[in-house]
Amino acid sequence: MYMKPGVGVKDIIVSDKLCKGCYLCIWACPWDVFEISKERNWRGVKKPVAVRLDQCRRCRLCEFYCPDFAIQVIIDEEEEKMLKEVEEKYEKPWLPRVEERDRIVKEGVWWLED
Amino acid sequence: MFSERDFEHYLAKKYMRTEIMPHAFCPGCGLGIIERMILMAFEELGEEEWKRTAFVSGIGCSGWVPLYFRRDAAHTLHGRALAFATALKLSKPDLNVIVVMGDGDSMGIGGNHLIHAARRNVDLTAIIATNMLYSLTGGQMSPTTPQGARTNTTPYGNIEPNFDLMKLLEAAGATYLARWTTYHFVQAKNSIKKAIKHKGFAAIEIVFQCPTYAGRYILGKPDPRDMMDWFKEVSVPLGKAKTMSPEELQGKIVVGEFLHRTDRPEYTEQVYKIIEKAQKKGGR
Ligand SMILES: Cc1ncc(C[n+]2csc(CCOP(=O)(O)OP(=O)(O)O)c2C)c(N)n1
Ligand code: SF4
Ligand code: SF4
Repeated sequence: MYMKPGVGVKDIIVSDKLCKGCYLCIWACPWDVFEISKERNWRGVKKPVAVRLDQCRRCRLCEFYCPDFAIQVIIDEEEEKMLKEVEEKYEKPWLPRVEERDRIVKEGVWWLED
Repeated sequence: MFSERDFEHYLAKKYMRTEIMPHAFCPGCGLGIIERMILMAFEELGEEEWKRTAFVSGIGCSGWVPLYFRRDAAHTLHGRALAFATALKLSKPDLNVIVVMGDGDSMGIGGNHLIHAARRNVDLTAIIATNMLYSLTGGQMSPTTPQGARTNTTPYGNIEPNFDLMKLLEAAGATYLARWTTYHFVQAKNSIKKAIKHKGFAAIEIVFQCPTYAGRYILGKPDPRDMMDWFKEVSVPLGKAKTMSPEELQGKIVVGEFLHRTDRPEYTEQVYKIIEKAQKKGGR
């Protein structure tokens, strides 16, 4: 994966959709980048927030130990672009297939009709 | 540029069924880390390898691991994942077949299939997720529960000694063996990579944290962070373990790469050789 030595990153995203609040990222981070937010999000989780972005050493330990794929360290624009590309190439073509499946399920299963 | 509301990690975008995520595991459950180890191994092996992979899983929380991947996966009967996988490998020998099982699934109800798959040296990659009890059904004792531990079915402490999977499979004839915990993230990923490339029966035991049952009942640590610290404390590298006495090793988890041999013939190849031979003779 994309690694670059240095200090400080552009952004660390913690997903509202996926984070369950186990705080393994806080346990994993050697540089004390995160803090637990005071408010609950729409899923009722007090998410960790990366408050000290300038302290981040880009080791990605928080990403590795997150069991729910909720954290992404975005080092710079280049990485952001790469993420967008992955979304376009892999995730976008998948979703119509899911919709198609849901449509078929909604219509009913043909072999059960008489 | 990205909104935090429905963001997913890079690996999830690339390999996982994001429409059914977040996954059904409890907060802090190590099965998500095992998923990531598998995906990172494939990220390094390349897309070719990913495209010719199929997953088979047993029943249990761990049986859900491959169901989140955008790959074909079979969720088979309890304990019978290896029997299904052997048949799959025989009918499609070009496939990488990866089997994900829990400890109760592989060593308890499916123990018979496990030793015979190892004896035949079928070219499978078995990832055995050990959490020291049966968790999907609510925390009963399994063949890896530590002695003296309290679970739902052993309220006065477990009196049964447990399996050493590595010794068991070495004796049975497996050709690649490794054991890690979720704390040993990079090592486990490298072992999975090696096992996928390895020709023959490869088994990797990954001890993972189940804060909900193992954490609460066995260890008294309901916080996944404490369980990770515990893994760090009790795991002993193989080289160091060799110099320690059995008393010193009580209650420790020996981690490392236990076996890598290439001298045993592989089962699928043998079967295809026999088929060829039989066809040449015209069936006689
Ligand atoms: C034939 C059969 N017997 C019993 C069960 C009930 N059952 C479902 S999951 C499970 C335990 C699984 O434990 P394990 O393999 O350790 O996986 P974990 O949930 O710990 O990951 C059992 C006994 C079943 N589904 N099928
Ligand atoms: S990349 Fe490393 S230093 Fe940066 S927030 Fe994550 S764990 Fe901390
Ligand atoms: S019960 Fe244990 S193994 Fe199952 S999802 Fe919860 S933490 Fe994970």
